[in-house]
Amino acid sequence: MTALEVTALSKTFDHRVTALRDVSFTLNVGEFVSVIGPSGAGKTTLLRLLNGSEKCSGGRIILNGVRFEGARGRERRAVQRTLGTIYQDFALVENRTAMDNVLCAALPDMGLLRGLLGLYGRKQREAAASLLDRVGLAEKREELVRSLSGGQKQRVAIARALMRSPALLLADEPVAALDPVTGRQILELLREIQRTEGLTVLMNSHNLALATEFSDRLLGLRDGALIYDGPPEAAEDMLRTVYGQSAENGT
Amino acid sequence: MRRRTWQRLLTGGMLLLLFCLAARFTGVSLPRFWSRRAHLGDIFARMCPPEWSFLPRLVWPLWSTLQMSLTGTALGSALALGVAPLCSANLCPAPLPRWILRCFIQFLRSFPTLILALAATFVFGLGAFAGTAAITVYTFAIMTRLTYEDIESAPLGACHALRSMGVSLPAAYVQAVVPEIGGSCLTNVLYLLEANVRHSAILGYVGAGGVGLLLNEKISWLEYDRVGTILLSLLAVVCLIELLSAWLTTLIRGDRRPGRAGKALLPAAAVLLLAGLFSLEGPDFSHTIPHTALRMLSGLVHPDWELVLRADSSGLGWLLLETGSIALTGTALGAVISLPLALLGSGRLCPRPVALLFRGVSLAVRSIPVLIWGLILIRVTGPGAFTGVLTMAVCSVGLLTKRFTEAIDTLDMRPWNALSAMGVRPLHRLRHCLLPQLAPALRSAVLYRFDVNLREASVLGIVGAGGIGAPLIFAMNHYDWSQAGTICLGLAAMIWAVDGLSSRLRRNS
Repeated sequence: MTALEVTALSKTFDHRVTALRDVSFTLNVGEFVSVIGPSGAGKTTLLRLLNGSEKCSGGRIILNGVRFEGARGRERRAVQRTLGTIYQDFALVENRTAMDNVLCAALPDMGLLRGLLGLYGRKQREAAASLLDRVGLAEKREELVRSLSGGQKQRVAIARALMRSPALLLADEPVAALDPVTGRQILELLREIQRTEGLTVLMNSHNLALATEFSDRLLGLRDGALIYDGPPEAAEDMLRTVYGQSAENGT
Repeated sequence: MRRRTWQRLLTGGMLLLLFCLAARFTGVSLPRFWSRRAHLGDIFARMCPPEWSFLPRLVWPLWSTLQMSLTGTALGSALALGVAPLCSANLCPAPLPRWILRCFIQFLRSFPTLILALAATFVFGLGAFAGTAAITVYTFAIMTRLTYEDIESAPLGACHALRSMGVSLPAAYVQAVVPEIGGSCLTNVLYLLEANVRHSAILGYVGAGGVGLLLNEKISWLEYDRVGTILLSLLAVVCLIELLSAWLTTLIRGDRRPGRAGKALLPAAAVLLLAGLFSLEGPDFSHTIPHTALRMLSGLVHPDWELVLRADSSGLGWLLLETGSIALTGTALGAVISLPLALLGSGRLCPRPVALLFRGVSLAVRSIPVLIWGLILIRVTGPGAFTGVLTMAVCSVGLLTKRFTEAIDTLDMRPWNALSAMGVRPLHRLRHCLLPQLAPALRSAVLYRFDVNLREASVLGIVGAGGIGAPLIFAMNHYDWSQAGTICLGLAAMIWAVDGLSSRLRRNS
């Protein structure tokens, strides 16, 4: 079953800079797919188009059978509710608690007034608490995010994304800001959750080794074009095509 | 979480109670304001159309105003940079001189420029020199404090490294500490420069030179068309200074490199400063009564105990309470009005034309000096503390809106975008993402404003808007130094107490 179908997607900034050209691929439900490529290849732009932060210049995005690319306002928000995104820099509200940050993900389902007052229901609180347990932060629920370590912050971000029970989880360089050991732990957690929940994950990475190890499939981007779509086993050859010359320069 | 929530509720409740008490004490009555709102436009209507032919006669007083603020800010900041290391715990190991200096700075900090200028006119005679002296002292006091706080939170690794190589402490300070605090220092100087332009525009009220002299004269002769011209020209000057400081701020932050015009502008600013310094008219001692300064000091040492102990509405306690209440209520009202204005004035949240419009409004509000607002509002609500509250509120709106907008414009928008990508609606994002992130900046801006307003509230008495200003200026004009000294000591004590309280509030949250 397809979770996401992207057809001929392209993005041009200011009619001049082309970030993505003619990108097409599909994601099956329950797949863990990584987009790899050097920085500037268009990985982040792709994710921003997929979660509706940016409008595409052409092409089509179909998410669970719903066309997404032209949606605006309420309609766009309706699709966005089925998405979870985690970011390289966590994008959490630093001076609120971990719990508050996770609960923020319940806001799209709440009425205007209740949301403004922050009157979360008991079920929502329980869900948030159990998600924080799940990512291993049971003790840190009431700590301010700014007092947490980088790895813990990313765990909070994962809990926040899971709080939406997303049909598709997007991860933009989730471990690039973390040290190797913590990064590996985060990916192991992500992979484990993905397997048990049957989640569909699309992850950006410039770390080929980690992406190969954790993904079911790799997509290779270079200069905004999709140049590889296949199993991670064939990644060795791809390294040269995706990274081109820079592979020899020690990347 | 329970504890934090309770603590928050308790603090909030206590602040609300305090606000209600203060509002009651100062006779705040919004129905009265509403029923007489038509008079708000009275003075503005009489200012239109402004008399343009009056403009040429304004050039010299405006220059003199600018000169006082530029020279005073520069001198005061330079002095502050020299004294600040002696006040900071991590650079000056001897506690006794440090505490003496800090007490002295704290004492100087308690007086508004107008009172300092009035005192200066008794020593240096009438004219711009007295005004410059007042601005210098004011800037010195505020800057020293801000700078030593900066030094205490600055990383001193480089300084210690230099010291361990045998570099002397002053040299290490200049080479290793000043570069660390330079950016925030310059930002503070620019803030003070803007504030000082506004302050020096009214120093003429006590004869300390500048455009305030004319302003006072035209208002008392009811020549409102000319008052309008003066206010418009002041708006232009404030606008210019703000543009300059915004440009300098982007340079400091390193957002932009100076272009060719920019490179020419820096020497031009330096020349302007030097021209201001050297064209300053000297002090005029011909009317100075000998030993005035000594008598002022002796007034501080021999307070008038009768005034302190008096329990009725002319006693020191009552007057201080009234001044404090005016400042508290005014700041709170101002903060409540400023927040939505700031959100509307931020280019990040609103379309550009809307943002520019609201920024223009707040600029216009803050370019009108405090005392003029006092005179305008006194038509509406009559003499008394309520007018003082409204004046403080309006002035706070002007300045807080600016601070708030700046806070929004330098905010990390990534959490906002993350929530937006999850489909959270804008109002919810505002409440759960923007406000929590902004809270520390808002709180410190409001506390800072309250601190400033305490001083400003004590000059409102000069136009009859309540507070301790009227008896203080009356006592000074009658050379009753022991009474003036008592009031000054009371003012200093109040500012000290509030300072302690607000730093505690800042630490707790």
